[in-house]
Amino acid sequence: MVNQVISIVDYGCGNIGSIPNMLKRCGASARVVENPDQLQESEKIILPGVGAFGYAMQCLRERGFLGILNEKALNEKVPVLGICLGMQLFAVGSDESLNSEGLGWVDARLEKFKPTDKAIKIPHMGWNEVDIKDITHPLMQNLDQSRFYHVHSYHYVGLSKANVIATAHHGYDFPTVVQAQGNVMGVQFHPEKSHRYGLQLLKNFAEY
Amino acid sequence: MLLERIIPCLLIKNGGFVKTRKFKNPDYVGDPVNVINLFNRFEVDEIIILDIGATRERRSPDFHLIDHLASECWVPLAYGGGVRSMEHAKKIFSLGIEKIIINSAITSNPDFISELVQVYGSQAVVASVDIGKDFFGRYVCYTHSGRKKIKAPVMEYLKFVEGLGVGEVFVNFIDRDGTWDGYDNELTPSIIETLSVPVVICGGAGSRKDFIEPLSFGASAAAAGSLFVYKGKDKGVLINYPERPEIDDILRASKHD
Repeated sequence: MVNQVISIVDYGCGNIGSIPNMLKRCGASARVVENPDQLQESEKIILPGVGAFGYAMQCLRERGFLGILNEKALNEKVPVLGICLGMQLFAVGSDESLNSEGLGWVDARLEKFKPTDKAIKIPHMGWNEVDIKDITHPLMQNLDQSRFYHVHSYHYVGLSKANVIATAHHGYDFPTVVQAQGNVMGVQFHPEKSHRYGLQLLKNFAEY
Repeated sequence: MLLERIIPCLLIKNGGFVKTRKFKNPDYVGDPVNVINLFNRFEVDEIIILDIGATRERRSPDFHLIDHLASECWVPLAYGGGVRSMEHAKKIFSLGIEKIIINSAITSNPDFISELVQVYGSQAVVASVDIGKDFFGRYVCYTHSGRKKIKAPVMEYLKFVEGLGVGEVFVNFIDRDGTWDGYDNELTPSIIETLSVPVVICGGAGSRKDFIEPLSFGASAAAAGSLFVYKGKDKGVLINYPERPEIDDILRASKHD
């Protein structure tokens, strides 16, 4: 369904920047959505995010996005792609902001990287190869030997195997592509900044 | 496995890209958007953009230019220069910059750095530390484009900077900037040893082989200016970047060094 318009949620804590341009580049149409009402008609949603977990949840709440996002993701089963912090928000909570509840779309949490030796630097910052666990997943098509740009300090723990589409290695393996409710998927890295690999992944989402 | 990065570091002055020598004598290199487009095509690991005039001229970041650069850029971008307030930061992140680089505000307003980290996370905040040698040949840290000396010893200052919560430290060796003499391989190992966050080393790269040493010491990235914008020391402009197989060779060599 290439011609579905993708709504990019701008809730004041995002890094919208090059996402619309990158989608345009892969032939998808996109619009940036700044208020919840505009999400009503959305058939596909991108939830970006840069920053701290608690602050992002606060922005979503204050701008009234929580209800409509839950409705779209859980009831209408609209495809949602979370990017970076946007995908972390699917969780129940994060050690980064202990007083904040996440969206709770997946029964898992986020923990800070625990370096196994001194050469492992935190944050995990830079290009990392991903190990695809579910090669049949639509998001992962035509992505052999690809690397993606990561910038984060927290990663998922407690996901069931079915939720983990791909992992990356930083001291140990951690989930870097996840799915929550089938239609809800997320990537820890920035596809909009990951050269032709990111372009391919966004194209995959546009065609999902 | 996380791959070490090789990063073009580009300097903005009066709306154009320039290249300095020892932080002085900026020479015009080219139109920023054109240069960024070329680096896009080379699939560079990341780009660092520093507006070297902003703090000196006491002005805000050039948001219009940043907007142009970021929306044209499909590789990770870090921006530094004149970022002094949460309002600045908000604007810059919303334009599509991944990381903000702070230099002068570290000493003038350390609370600002902590606040940035709290709101945007440590991964989005980079501290830039300029290191030069003083009259006695001792290493000294500087802010304000090398004009303000930091009294604290180098390692103490680096620890202080890390303590503010930043997610990366960008170290630029002033006396090597634009010299093509190679990186400082004397102090770099102890800097990396001192810090537990990723470290980017910049200043002095004269050939692509020069990247190997800082990376072999454990730097997360090696950055360069002249090498990526000039053909050679005669300063004929030629925007360039190694192809992937060459980078793979450099990374491999750094593991055996």
